[in-house]
Amino acid sequence: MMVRLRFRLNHEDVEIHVRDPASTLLDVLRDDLGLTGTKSGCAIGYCGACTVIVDGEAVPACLRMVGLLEGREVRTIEDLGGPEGLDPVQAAFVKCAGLQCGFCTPGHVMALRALLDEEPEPDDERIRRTVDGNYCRCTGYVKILDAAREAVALQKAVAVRNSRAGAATSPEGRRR
Amino acid sequence: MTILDRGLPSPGVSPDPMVLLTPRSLDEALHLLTAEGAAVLGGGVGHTLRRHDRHRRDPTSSGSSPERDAISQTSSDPPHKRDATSLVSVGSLPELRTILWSGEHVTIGAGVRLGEIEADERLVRTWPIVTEAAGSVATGRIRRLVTLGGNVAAGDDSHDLPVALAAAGAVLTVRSVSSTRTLRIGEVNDLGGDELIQDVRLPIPSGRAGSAYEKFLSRGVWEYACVNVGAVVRLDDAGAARRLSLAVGSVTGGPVVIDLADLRGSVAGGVLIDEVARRAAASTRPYGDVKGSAEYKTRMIAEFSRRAMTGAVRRAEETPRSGGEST
Ligand SMILES: Cc1cc2nc3c(=O)[nH]c(=O)nc-3n(C[C@H](O)[C@H](O)[C@H](O)COP(=O)(O)OP(=O)(O)OC[C@H]3O[C@@H](n4cnc5c(N)ncnc54)[C@H](O)[C@@H]3O)c2cc1C
Ligand code: FES
Ligand code: FES
Repeated sequence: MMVRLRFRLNHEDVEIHVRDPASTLLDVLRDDLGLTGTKSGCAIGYCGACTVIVDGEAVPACLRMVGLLEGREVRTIEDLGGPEGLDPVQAAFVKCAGLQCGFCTPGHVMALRALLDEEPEPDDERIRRTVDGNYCRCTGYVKILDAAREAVALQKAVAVRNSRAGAATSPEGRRR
Repeated sequence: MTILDRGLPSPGVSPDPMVLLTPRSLDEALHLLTAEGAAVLGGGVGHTLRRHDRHRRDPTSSGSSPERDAISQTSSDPPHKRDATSLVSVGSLPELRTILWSGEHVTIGAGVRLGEIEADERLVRTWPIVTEAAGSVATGRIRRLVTLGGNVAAGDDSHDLPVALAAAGAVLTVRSVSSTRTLRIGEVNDLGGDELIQDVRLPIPSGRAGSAYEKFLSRGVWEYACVNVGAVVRLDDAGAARRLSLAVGSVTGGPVVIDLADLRGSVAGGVLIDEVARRAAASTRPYGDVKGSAEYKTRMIAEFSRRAMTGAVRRAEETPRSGGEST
């Protein structure tokens, strides 16, 4: 018997039919929805490669039962970037060469995306605590931390640019 | 709207799918739990690990790793939860999601996430042992999912919250459709198949009280404890210990509450703390594993008991003298 589940996925309403609602979100994303940007590193909550954002919070998709997602808002790495360019976090990883094989990168990017959504100017301690939840077997983390700091700066620059553009077009924009 | 059908089960998916039930009230959940094969679902982290572990033991699945072995070692099914065919999700029930303060007690709902406990400022002030234990579990991302009830009900001797709660003298409120009863942390394996933990109740400490939690990580990075210890004290104005309690985890039958009754009334200083550490090491049976041999852990239990008790005494000394004595 199939179980029907509805939730928001990358800003779209989706309805999926799963055989087992106790399957993990990770398996469903990769095997059923073809969203393979979310990686499976350990499947037991350690490595962070599977990090996605659920209701604004970074969580390991391998520990999230898909049946508990009814009505929730899920964002995966496929949601970032687009025709208008990369997300500032992605752009920072490119600029700082914060990756080698790249397997861990989607998890890092999503974890840092959630952090910057919550706290646009996190201190180094918070950045370190966030990166601590993601294993990288290649880089040694120095460049990942560089990328995380760069992401803060790039995002700030985007915010300033947007607020200038807003100020030029609307009276509200001036107050931001 | 995208509509997709799940095709053949993918590797890792159990051949027997679970039924997942999402009741809207506690009463409804208690009724659902009366069914054969029904088990409580908190944050789902432990259940997910267990499914993974079962798959791993399947000879057709891929090999093991020390980390997976560490998980399988600590995720064995508690006796009351074997062979579940349906899961009753209680982690979002409003009745289980509150932290309530009354005159003498604080009552933490079983559905409260460890991340919420760690961040609760009033709990940080009154029961730092509990917030420190909560904050020591894995990473923020995992603490967001794990419920207090799930962490406690798993009956795992290395879990952090049970150690802190045992030292703090917590009482579990356990409900079924037909009864409400209380259990101590050490009695959690007595939970019946149709029962759930509704909340965890702690006395609000009065007078010059202090508590501290110590978790020793042998590799220095976040993981399950090598040994974990919680200490609670209350001092009278002369500096003698009126209440004294210590619990040790990651040992056989843990958390083990160490008998310190005869030490009450002693001055809370180095001699007392050394004796507490000696007793903790002498009266616990750690097991050797990837984190250390049993002998090594015994020495660590002494050291971390000393540190936990020292921290608790220091905190108690920092609270102002009341002028009166409490027991
Ligand atoms: C990478 C990783 C690292 C971890 N590190 C630590 C660590 O350092 N310290 C630590 O303590 N834990 C650690 N854990 C383990 C985690 O705390 C446990 O798996 C915990 O049991 C999960 O809680 P949950 O709410 O998700 O429970 P669930 O998976 O929903 O349930 C766990 C068990 O409790 C039962 N249960 C749940 N809620 C109730 C209730 N209200 N009443 C009765 N029974 C109930 C369930 O039936 C099940 O048997 C770690 C887990 C992972 C994945
Ligand atoms: S795959 Fe989820 S944390 Fe490793
Ligand atoms: S870049 Fe290879 S694991 Fe991080």
